[in-house]
Amino acid sequence: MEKIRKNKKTIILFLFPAVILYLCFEVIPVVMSIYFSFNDWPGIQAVPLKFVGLENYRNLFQNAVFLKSLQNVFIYVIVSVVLQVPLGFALGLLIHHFKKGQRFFKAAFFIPMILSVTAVALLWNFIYFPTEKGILNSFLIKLGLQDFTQQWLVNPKTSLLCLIIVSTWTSVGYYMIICLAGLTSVPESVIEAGQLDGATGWKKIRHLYIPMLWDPIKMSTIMVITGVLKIFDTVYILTPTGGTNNSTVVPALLMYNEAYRYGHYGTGSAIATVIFVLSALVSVVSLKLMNRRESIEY
Amino acid sequence: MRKSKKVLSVVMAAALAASVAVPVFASGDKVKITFMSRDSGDTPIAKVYEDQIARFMEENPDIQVQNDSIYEEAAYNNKLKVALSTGETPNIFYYPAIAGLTEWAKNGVLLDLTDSLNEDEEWKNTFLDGALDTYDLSAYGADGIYALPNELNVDAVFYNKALFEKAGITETPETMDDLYDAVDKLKEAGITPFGVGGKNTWVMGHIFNNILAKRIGTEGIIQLGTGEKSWTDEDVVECLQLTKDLKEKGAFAEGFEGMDYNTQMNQFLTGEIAMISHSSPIIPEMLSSESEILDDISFFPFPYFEDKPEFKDTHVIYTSGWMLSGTMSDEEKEATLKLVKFMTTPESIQERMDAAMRVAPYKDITAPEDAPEIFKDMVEYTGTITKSVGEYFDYDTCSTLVDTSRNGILNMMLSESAEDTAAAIQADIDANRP
Repeated sequence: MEKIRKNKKTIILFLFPAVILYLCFEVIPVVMSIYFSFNDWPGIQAVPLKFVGLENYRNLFQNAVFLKSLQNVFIYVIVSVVLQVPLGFALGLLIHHFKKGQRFFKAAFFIPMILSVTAVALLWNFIYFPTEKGILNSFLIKLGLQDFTQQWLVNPKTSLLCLIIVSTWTSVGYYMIICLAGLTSVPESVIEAGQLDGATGWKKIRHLYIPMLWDPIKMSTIMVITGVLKIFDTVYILTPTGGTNNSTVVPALLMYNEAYRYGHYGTGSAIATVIFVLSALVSVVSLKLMNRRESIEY
Repeated sequence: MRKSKKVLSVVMAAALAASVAVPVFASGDKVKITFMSRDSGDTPIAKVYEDQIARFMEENPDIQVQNDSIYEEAAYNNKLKVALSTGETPNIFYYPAIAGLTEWAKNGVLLDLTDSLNEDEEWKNTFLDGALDTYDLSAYGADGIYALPNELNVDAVFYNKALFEKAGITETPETMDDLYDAVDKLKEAGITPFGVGGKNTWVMGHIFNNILAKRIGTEGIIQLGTGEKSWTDEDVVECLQLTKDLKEKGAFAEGFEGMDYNTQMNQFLTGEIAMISHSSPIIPEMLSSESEILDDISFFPFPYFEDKPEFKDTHVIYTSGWMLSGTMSDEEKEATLKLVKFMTTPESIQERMDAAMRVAPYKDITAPEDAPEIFKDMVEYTGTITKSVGEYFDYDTCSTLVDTSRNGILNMMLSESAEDTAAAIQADIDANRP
């Protein structure tokens, strides 16, 4: 076994299929997308690419709808990070603490994650239905809060938040599982020692669990950020037009429309590149910020 | 053991290679052509297409037709766009555009059918007079006919007779003033006049398009598409305002902006609302439902404006057509034209009408004897139409117009003014029209 590990040819041979797949389906499309973003192309094979330099980017950053989409997606990212990771980890800790019904709750919170996005969106469509027949509106009416009833997905003040709630409901179970997986590597002896030193309740979470789960928290945060920056399906199904006055429009929705509906492949690729660069930048910055804590060794 | 593993791996590799090679050899000398429509699955029309393709292949054993039809709109469009971008244009396909086809026509993606039609007068004469002109793109700088009209989607207002009677409406509205009266009477009777699934922006877009047709007519709409008219022109802004006024008059249900099309149809088919603005393909869809009010459903033409009698007879008809690939080899072209002609024989067209109640732009096609009355009425009504117009964006080469205008109309229904909506749509056209 050691001999095989030292044989570089063998290593390369085993890596070769994975590298080829990664190159074909990840690296080359990204590079091609960046290349297309500097060109104008109507999506017809017979028409050659027309190099336009930075014009697609210039047009994008002068486009009010694109700027609005960036604003929306940043709000989406910030609120999602604030909601999804703490909620997921809180659920994980609760389930870890209360052993009774652990398997049931694990499954119950994780089920939204395995449902198709279309099914989830349709379900929430009934909840947000704009008349008194909508589940949320009828609930509010029954509570005597009819003044609070809304056209939830139509009102620009509520539509984006409604989408964020759907994403949170869907994803929170995933981060709960990551938390539970992280907890398996936390030695009970450390927790017991901490408890003996007086760490109970919130102190236990603040000074024991959070530091020891810091790596899973970091990973989850990056996953939320990169996942939300490219969000498309939930937005497309619940507010296919990008909402009233573009209240829910996001870059990925614009990218799809530009490339596949309008045949503006250059603009679509430019948006894809912006999403890629933003994902990379925000991830790196977040990691830097979160790396300030010293790693815990035990 | 080692030897047997080697033998096994060689056999498996050979099997894999053979599985790839078999289709190549199996296709033999057959000419392979692809047909791509939005009619797939278990729908009656999809079954007719499958039968017709199977019969065609039986009669033409040297031609193999691959039916790549996809029902779901986004999936269909994605597949088509990818095919065009990779040069794998389907031999026969459908795309909902007229002026929007110009770029494809200019770049050789589409076949100019003018010569093929002129060479076969009998075939050319099967189409309704003027139907082929729909796809004559000369006005947009691409001389020639670039698609064959295949279906007519005739717009009308479908209504519930029982609810009209309950509200005391004895005659269907002929003018917009009649319609406003009907709206008032229905509201007084506690009935929602119009069902609109505003979330699907095309629904409101259709109502606006009918108002546009009845106020600026076919010429006006075409001028709007070619840029001779602007969206900020007074008469176009007035059409937007009239659309918005329908909401102010209480024609639509509260919260219609957030409802979807399915809810709208469900409300209509359960007798909750009195009218919907729709087109002829809704007839088979309604009849295949289990609605208990089917006998109460009828239709009337979209009303006209008394101060614009010149556009009284202008009716909205959405034509859908078949486009043929412009990159075919001579062999493929011959086979493709053969298939298209087979599918446009009077027998084939009648077969599709009988099975799926689709109104077609061909001569001498009649509704079958045993067809439901509403469909017979629709075929008869279609025969009386002398002036027609499609969607306003059909005549515009600006690809973003469909979304910008429909989203703009929905925003207008919620808060924006007609003037601001018109200005925003015109700005988008100025930025994106090629």
